[in-house]
Amino acid sequence: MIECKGIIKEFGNPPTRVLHGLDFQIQSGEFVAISGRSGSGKSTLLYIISTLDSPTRGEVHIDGRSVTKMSVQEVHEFRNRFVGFVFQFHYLLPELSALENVLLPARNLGLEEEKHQSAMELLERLEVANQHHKLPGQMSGGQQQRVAIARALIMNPRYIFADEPTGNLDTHNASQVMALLKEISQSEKTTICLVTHEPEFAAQASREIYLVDGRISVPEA
Amino acid sequence: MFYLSWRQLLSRKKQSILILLGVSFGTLLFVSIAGVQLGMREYLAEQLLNNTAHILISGAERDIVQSEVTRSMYSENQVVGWVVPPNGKRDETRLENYSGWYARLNSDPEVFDFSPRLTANAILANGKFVASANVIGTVPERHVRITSVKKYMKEGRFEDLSLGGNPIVVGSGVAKQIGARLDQFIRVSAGRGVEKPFKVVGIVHFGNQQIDDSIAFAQLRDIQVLTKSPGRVSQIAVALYDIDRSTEVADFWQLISNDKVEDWQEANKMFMEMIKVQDFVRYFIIFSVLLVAAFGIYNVLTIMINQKRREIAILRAIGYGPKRILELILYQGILIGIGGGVLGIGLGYLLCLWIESIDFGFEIGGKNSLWVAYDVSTYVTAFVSATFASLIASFLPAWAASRMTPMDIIREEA
Repeated sequence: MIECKGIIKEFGNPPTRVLHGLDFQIQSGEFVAISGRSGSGKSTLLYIISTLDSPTRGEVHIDGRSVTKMSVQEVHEFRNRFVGFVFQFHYLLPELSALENVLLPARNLGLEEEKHQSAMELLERLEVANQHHKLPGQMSGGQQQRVAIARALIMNPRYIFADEPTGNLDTHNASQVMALLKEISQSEKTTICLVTHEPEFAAQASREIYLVDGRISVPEA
Repeated sequence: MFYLSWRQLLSRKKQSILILLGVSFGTLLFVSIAGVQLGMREYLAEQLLNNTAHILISGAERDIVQSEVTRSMYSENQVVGWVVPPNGKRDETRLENYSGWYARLNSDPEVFDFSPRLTANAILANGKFVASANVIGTVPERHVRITSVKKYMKEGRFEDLSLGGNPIVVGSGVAKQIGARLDQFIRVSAGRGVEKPFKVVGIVHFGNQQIDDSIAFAQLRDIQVLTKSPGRVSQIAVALYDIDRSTEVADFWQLISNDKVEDWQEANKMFMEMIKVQDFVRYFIIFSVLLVAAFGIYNVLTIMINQKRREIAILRAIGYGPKRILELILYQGILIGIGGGVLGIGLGYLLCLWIESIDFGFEIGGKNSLWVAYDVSTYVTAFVSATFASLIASFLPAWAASRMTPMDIIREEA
């Protein structure tokens, strides 16, 4: 469970407030979409609840632990074991093959041997198994994003944070990626937080947090 | 992380190879310059040691002291006033107390062996032909133990000097000047009205023209007779077990004796100063070349980090902590350092072999090419410096990369 208390985020000097004291909870197994127009602070919020960024004020508790009180080592280990990230750009390492990219989180824990089998299964499931030896540069955008999703899933994380995962894809690939996230949310009971500015995709989530100028807006019924 | 570092290096083959060559060039220069310089030094040192040994004890030049003359010429009760007081130098340098030295050197555990000498300037004549030479009267069986003179014998045997019948070994240049051959008798005079026939039992060739043209060896006893100074010894050449201790040992002996005690480095001060300058030049060269190479590594890694910001961000997001990122960059620098070092010493060794094979057309210590040293320490120094320089050069970018937070990068990219 992710619990946010009075999240305030300011940037720059003099400080510009981007998030205005947000309070909310995300239950385990939920599929939450964070949406809003560009500049509404949705990506900032995602990075704060995903431990990559820290709030200027306020607290984030994940599974009962305060993120701000974790050491650098603990944060990284937490991300390594329990969190999967999917970004708008795939961020695959260009020197490594698809399979090696998928195994990167496992490699950091010395588990690449054990995870090899499940990595191949994941690629199979994402229909890119035949690409496993290729370098990212040799694959299409949709294939790259699927490999990136496989990398996010390899450690069977409790949380998946996705920042506009469909932003760089065509309609066909985008809806496939969305379908995939939904499937994972249902089959693995993984908590998923998705940032998107497309209402159509936001609607597929079990709950929508709609941001307007850094505040949660209650959807008009 | 090593695996990823390796992969990143491989993915930038051209860049990696160029920078690797930069490092290896530095190492190569150092190894080959050091090889030639140290080879030259070995050659010179051997030449010098042939004449001076590790430590040379010689009679000090002494002034004539008025009171000493007074005391030796008049009894104690007499009052002597000099109109013209005696002054000047004593006409001969001799060791004050040879037997004392003999006892000391025999019992000193650091002394390998020693050999007494009496050097005389003499005229060597063969028929009409005349040459002047510096004849070293020595004890042959001791002399061969403390110098490598045997190695330089062109004809005959140095050991034959210990036979009877005024044997002499002459330098190759001297032999040429007077047309002397092995087993021939030549006349030797030391300018005191004594001329004696000596039998040439050997011709020595050090490969240094200046020495070969003016050197000769004979028995100590024969030279003492020739110079009409029986029992006189002008120098004692000492060889220690450890040549590097010569300065310390010589300094100590100097404290307890009136005689002049010089180690070979002090006796050849000019030469040693030249060596110091050479050492400085060599280290300066490796320093500057490695500095340039290090800058290359620094630049390449800094540029690479900027190009790889996204990858660094995703690695951090995946759970690779700052330490891992530091390792990722540092390993690449170290790999370049080690690779460049190994390549450099390999190529340097080959270059040394090649330099050694060049025929210069004139003689340098017994062969027509440069002496090249292959000291292991040179290679170790070169390798360690290359690795160390690379380590330093890659640490700064690596540290900078480890400081980047994933958020800074993602925000910039967005």
